[in-house]
Amino acid sequence: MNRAKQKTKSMNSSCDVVVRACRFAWVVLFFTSAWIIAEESTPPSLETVLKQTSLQRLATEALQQGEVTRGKEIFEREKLGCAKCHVATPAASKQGLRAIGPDQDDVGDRLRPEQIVESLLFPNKTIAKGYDSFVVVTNDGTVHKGVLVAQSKDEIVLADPEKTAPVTIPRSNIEAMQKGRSAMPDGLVDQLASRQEFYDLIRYLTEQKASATGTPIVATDKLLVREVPAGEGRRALLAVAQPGGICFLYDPNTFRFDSIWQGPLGWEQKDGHFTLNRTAVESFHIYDKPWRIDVARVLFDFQWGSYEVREAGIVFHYTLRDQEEGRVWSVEESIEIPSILRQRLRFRITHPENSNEVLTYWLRQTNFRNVATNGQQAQRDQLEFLQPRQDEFILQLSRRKSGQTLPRGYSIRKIAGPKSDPPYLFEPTAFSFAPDGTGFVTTRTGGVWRYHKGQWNLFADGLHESLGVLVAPNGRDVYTMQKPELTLLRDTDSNGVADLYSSIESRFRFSGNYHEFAYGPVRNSVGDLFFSTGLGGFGHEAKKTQTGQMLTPLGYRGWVMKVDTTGELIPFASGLRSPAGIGMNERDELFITDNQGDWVASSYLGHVEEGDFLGHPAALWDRAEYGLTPRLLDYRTLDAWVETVPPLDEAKFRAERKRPAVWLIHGDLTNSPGNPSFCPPQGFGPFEGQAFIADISHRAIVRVALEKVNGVYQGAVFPFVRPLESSSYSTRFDPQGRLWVGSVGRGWTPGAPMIEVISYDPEIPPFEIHRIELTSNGFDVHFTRALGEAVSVEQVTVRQFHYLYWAEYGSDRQDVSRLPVEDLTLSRDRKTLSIQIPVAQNNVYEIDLGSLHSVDGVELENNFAFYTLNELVR
Amino acid sequence: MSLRLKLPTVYLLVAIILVCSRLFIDDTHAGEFDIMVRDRAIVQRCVTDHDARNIAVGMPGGFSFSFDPVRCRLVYVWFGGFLDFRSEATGRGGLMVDILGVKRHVGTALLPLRMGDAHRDPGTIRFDGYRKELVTGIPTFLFRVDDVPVEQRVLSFGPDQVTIELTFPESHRSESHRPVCYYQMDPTAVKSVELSERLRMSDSGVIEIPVDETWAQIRLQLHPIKDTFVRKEPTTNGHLLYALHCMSCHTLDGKKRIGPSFADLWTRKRTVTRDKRAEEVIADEQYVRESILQPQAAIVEGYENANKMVDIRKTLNDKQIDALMKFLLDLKPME
Repeated sequence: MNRAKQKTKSMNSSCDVVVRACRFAWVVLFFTSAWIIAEESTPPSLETVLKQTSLQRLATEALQQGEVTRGKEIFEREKLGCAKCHVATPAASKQGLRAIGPDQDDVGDRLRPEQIVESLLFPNKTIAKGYDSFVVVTNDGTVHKGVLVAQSKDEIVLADPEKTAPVTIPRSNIEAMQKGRSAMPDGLVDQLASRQEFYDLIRYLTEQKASATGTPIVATDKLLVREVPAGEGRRALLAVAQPGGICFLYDPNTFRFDSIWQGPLGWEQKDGHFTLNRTAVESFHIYDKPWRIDVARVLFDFQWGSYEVREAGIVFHYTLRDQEEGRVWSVEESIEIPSILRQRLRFRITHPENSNEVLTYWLRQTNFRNVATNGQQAQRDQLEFLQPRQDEFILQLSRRKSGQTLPRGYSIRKIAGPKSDPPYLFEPTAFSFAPDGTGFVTTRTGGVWRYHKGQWNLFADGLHESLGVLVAPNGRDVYTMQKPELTLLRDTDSNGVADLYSSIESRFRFSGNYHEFAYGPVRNSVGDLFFSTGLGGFGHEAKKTQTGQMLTPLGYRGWVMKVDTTGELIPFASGLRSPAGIGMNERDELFITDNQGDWVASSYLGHVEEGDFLGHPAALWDRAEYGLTPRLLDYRTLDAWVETVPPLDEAKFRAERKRPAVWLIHGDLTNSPGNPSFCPPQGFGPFEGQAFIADISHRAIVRVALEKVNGVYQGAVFPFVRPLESSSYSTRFDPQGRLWVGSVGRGWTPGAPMIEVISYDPEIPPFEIHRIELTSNGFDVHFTRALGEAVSVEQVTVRQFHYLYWAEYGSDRQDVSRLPVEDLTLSRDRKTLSIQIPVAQNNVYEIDLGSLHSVDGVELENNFAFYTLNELVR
Repeated sequence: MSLRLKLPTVYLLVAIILVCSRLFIDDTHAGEFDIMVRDRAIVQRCVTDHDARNIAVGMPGGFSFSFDPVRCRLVYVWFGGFLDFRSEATGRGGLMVDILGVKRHVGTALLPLRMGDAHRDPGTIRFDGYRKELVTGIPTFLFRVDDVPVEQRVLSFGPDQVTIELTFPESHRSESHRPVCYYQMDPTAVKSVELSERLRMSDSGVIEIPVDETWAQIRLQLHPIKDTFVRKEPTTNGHLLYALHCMSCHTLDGKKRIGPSFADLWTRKRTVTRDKRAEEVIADEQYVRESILQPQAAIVEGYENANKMVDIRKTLNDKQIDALMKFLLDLKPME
């Protein structure tokens, strides 16, 4: 089995970085503890007093009592040194360096008065983007700190407020680098003579509005391009205003669109000084120099060409020269902006003659955004894979309105976890509750914690990555799924601690690869248990692809397994990839969630019945017809290695595949969903029987309302809560109907491990789309409360698309088309909206209702849904 | 009158600390993710270099072993620390876990237990789990070989000493005795083998356990080895700990920094504020220990507004705090 460890895929290459980062974390501890200014004065200081006053009040008083001219004098006072960091000096600008802190000349545009107050009193609370301070240790042990004012692939430049000249450090020289505190020293406010001086300074800063003194620059009838100097050695940024008021910024130094906003391009002062509008910009979330060859990250040298303004818009030209063979690709890039929420980037690529490589385009992962392309690109995490020699690449970005959404009547509170004995961590991976309310929580480092009457105790430990928990029928013992085994933890002496770790089932192969996760168990009313196994990074590949596949060592990986009441093990259903969630509803119906990747176009919720094949073919080799895996593994075969596998019959398994019940819409609603928890009849509002699923990447909970059409499950997925405080992963309803949400602290998008509990106040009914039902001529959209207004055909948008079922990693939305809404009818009770629209099988329908209000004036925040249509109403 | 350290001085201090603490990375920090076995045995399932389903057991006193639940056998043992859990506790987890010791093979056969016939591989081996003893945490492995229930413990009673203990509980299935049980091993892999009463070992290393014997002990004395593994423990050099953790704020020469100097730590009469009341104290051991562990409990006059001292317990373990305490006690002038 040593092969397993050697063949671990490159996916975990970031581990080394993480380890180094951890090794370095304590350095910051020192740094922060030493970033101290000794103070011996008669209390209370001005700063202490001000800190005890509300920001709002200080801001109001400053606006009333502050005086601008005195404030300017204070700002420029040498002792305070504000100007030292917050005014870009001509000398620094010449070197292509910006000021150490954000420039003050438009602070009044960028920040509200209370935010300015906060920045002065609590400089570490919100650090302006790009102004983080860093601590860097070089190979020879020297320590540098400062704000990162410039960087390239070879070196970084740190500016330290205490030093006259910035320091340039070659990247190869960096032993460790870590974000520190704000470079703005604490205690600055105490340098002021009086409260009045504080008010004067604040007042002066609030007045620093480029918009107040300058002339707004807007495009009236044609495109307007401004070159904004970016410092010496850097090409000017290209700020573009479109007629209609949408502006964007293109950075020819990083070869990407930078940001987009609505409003003036910026302001021109009388002296000709131009300030870019940075008040409410949205980033494009594109990596600097976003082109690579394949995932191998062969680097290109980017060579800027030019830009030209054509009738259709602005076009950017540049070339890519690969650093290995010197071949040259030329790229022509342009943008269409249908709205502030939708942009279409268009690339025309001329390939060198002798190239057949796959180009990749790197995007940063961000929530509330869907990415779609024009064709058969594969999508993996943040990159788009082009086809070899693909000459036109269109990237469509659609964003959702951002901000937190929590339906009315629901509230979130945190529950403090127990103190774990290091190196064990408390990272809740699953919950289960005994009828008496005692909770059990499994953790990634293999512990099971018991939560009884508000007290935590360690129920079991030493397990191998526990990802599932289920209280046994006696309410005292607990099932857990570890990577190698389904275990029953028995508390035979009823002292609240397990003493017998019973091995229930382990007859599935586990090569040791880190990605071979196992989930469950869930139990039906008869007492059968079900668990699921994921594929990993070791073994055989179902099909050769450009983006790589999940592998199987065979032996029931990618399966749902059933342990019946007699203890018999039954391979139950196959075709799973990375099924991070398993759940069972009140009707004994089994569901899994799977994660996007090869053969899985988007994450989905699937209904599992015996014999089903859910789509990932790697699991098929375990079927009896291939004769490769014994029906039951034993000590002779558990670790056996199957040398060769026959090709799989794609036409056959394509025909056999059971389609997902509901696509969970990768990118837009989920990236990495956890288990479905089915809403109880009481305690969590009007959503009985619906599935609630947490997502690690989006830090969100989505809600799924299923319906059966022709005996097949399908339905709609809705946003529910977003974002939560941390990387939510596991969910479970407790006996009172509260939803417990666990966040793990490591993994793909780590946050802080925590438990958040969502409760519902029955006094406050939510206003949500309750469910969407397919009709013979469209959809019935049911609301939880009566609508207060008529709905117009114009405000309802329905888009139809489908996904590819293919071996590549994920699929963009295919053949996206907006459907004409033929008719809208609101039921007499104003709670059901019938949308008449042409529908067809095997599509997904994005239904966006626009602005709607309930009869008592509540806005419908979660105003969109995606309906997966497998079967038409006959 | 206010005393304020110039920022460059602070930076210099930071730099000194950081440079000094580079030693700390190489020297003592390796133990950060160690699973410490203290007064109870710890069972930890994780991938070590042996196999994926491995069950590692660490006993108080520094004896550890690896048990294979597929073939139900003791695989190897080690003396020293237990496990470095870094690979599980960081990143995406799931990578191989390092054992903190030198792997010692004890001559166990691949399939050590046979029922009825010493030369026939078992038909079935079924691992049933393990029981953890309430007070000691020591696990007893439960399994069945050809449906015969067996319980196994692994213990060590001295340096290079390993004891395998087998118990044969009565089977619920049959009234009759179990068949003769054989335990196979390579006696040349160890220095000596000692058996409990009524057990016999053949020249080829097959140990026969009679049908009516319910308990068997196989005591192995391992060959001594030269390259003993020594885990770099977190430093307990008090002076070094002072330099790394205290020096930046508390001088030894009477100079005032962020906190009071240690120059006259044991002699100076000082006024402190405790529970909002002022009191005069002369430091004793209890007072100094409290100041380290709960720095906010009593604040020395003049330092009310100084930046709060960090919680040193997050960085130092108990042993290290004791060592630091000893260093401070040594500063006490001779009486």
